[in-house]
Amino acid sequence: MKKNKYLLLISSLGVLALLVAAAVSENFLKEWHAIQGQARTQEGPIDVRLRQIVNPDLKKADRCVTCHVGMAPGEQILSDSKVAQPHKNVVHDTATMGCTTCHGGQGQATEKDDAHGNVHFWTEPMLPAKYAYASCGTCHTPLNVPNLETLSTARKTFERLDCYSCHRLDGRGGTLRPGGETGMEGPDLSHVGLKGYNQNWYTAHAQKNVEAQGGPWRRFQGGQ
Amino acid sequence: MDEANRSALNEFWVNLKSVPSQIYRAMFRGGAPVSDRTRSSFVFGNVFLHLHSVRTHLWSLRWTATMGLGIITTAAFLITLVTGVLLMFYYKPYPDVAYQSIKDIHFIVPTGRFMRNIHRWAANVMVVAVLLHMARAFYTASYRKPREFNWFIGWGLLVTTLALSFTGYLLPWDQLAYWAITIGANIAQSPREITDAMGITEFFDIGGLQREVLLGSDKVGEESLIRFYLLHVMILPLVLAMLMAVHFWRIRKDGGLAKPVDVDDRVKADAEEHYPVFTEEPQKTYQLAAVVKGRTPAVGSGPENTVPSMPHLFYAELGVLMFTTLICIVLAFVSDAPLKELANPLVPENPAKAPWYFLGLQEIVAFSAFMGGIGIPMLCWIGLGLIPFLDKETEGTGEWFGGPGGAKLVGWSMIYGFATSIAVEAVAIRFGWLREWFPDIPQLVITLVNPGTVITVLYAGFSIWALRRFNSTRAGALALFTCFLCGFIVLTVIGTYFRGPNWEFFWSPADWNAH
Repeated sequence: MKKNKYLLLISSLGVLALLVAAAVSENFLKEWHAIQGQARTQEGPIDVRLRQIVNPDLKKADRCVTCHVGMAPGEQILSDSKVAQPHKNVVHDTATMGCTTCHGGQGQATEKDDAHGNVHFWTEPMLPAKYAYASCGTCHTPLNVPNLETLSTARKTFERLDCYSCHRLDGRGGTLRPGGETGMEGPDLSHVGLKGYNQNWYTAHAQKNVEAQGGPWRRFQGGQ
Repeated sequence: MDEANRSALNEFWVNLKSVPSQIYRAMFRGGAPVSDRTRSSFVFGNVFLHLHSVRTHLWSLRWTATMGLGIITTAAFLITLVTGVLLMFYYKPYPDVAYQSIKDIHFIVPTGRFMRNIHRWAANVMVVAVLLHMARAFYTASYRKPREFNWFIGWGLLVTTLALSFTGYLLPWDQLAYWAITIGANIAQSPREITDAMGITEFFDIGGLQREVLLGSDKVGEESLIRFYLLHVMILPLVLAMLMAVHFWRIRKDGGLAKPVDVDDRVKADAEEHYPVFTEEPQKTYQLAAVVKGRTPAVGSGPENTVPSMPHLFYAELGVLMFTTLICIVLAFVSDAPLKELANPLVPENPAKAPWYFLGLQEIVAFSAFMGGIGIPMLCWIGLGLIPFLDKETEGTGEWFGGPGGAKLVGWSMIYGFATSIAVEAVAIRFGWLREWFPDIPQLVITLVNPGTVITVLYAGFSIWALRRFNSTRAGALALFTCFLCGFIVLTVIGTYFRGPNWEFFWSPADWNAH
């Protein structure tokens, strides 16, 4: 019976220790606890709590302001760390509009990598700041957003060169499989460019076409 | 104020003070479990504990007797029950919203991610433990008379456990869930392979019906989600709890765990380790034994090798319960439960894989949907269910690998089981199968001759050889069970780790990305 008693004692102590560890890390040790702990207003430290901007119309709850406390509605943070900065003035009221509609990323998340969308299973990472205008088109399709011309040129080129035959883009295309029925589908291009571009990629891709004896590459500009 | 009144007030005060001890005494009528009699009444006076026998044989208390696998399974179930109820407070069973709610559980529900991790790990521990528990019961020949019915109940518990795990798989509504259930539903549809070949699908579409009953629709959608949710949180747990109650109660009614005939010569109570046994005259008489049917209660051989279940058995059970909890919590710390992208019916996962315990079947399904999905599993199922009625021998009951052939036969069966399944799979992977050699071959031929059926036939042949060699059904069963266990492991490992996009063979998932 002694063996069983020791098993019970040691397992119970282990469980207790791990549960306490989980409770402590959950309630005190998250990244945003430290960030909010340093933030100061004129009246002193701020409440350390989860913050979010809820936009019922867009069905979004963006928790970005849990770390970016300077952008939380009604907060005037004095410290000059990066996350304490207020949002610059834009056409929308950021306090009600939320963040991810324009910036992308994962609004529900409360940890940096997850929130910025730099994780494996989040398909919409944050747009680089200079491309934020690309999101205007999400709601304002008919309006003349900046760089609309570039965008539509690219779209037409994609159609004209028949990229859709092998590649899928936002659920369209990708029906032709170079290897036949059982062949591999062309890579899905829906999210290409969201994490920046390799400027030489196109040249390299065209070079593959030149080198290939057979295979999936169709003739396109830059090819032979 | 007169005398009587004062004493009533006094009495009231005394009663009030003794309320806690009165409640305690009302709850535990037998008193503290310090003597043999009170230890017994502690067990049979408690609705939950009285599923146990009041005394436990020392043979059953040895760690090697059961490895605690049944209790590990029960403990894992209790853990999933507690964490599952907690998750239900936040989970919303509707497509897309379900995914958002899991994200919320992950990110803002206090310890939500931790609880989900524990739930997921406990579920996996439960599946593994229930399989090992079945193997234990088989290898110790515990299915034999009078335990045939309990083996049956265990058989039902295995199916219910797999169904619980499978229904839970869909709930996060991510790509992993969506496509795994799609695969599962396609496996349910696999009888079509036969009805198509016979040209009767139009009139008799049992496969299509199975799929539709499972999904509630022609594809995985909101009807499927609500259906799986209801099964997962209510119907299946209730079924499981009821079967478990019967399972435990039958252990007691069948005379405890299976033991060798000469068990009393093999174990001896250690006076230092164990509470002294039968120190007092039992106040409860067992006259009833005279009118109860069945085998005579132990006459001539004393009960000296049993010890009171309270505390001996309960320390063991609590110890295993806490140990299982510890394992699940450690795993939950080490590894997060997966959550992929939001389910998207337009973007199939490639490869789409069923939950891991079905990947062995999926490996055969890749050749023949019917054989992998229905044929071979049914054969195993029926075989398992019939064992107690085919093996009526008595040699080796209660002992590991007991019976003719014994551990040596099991060892050889393992070698044969691994070698055959690996060899057949290697041929199929390296040289292809009938479809690659004869492109025009009818599917019905592949249904009959595919790696799954070939392995099954080879195993059956080996089992018949063992049966004749040792002139014993038990030897045949030992060989067959061991072989199938090895085949299950081989196919599951190949399906899990070595199959990539388009179900092609890859040495490592790192090679998956062909582009």
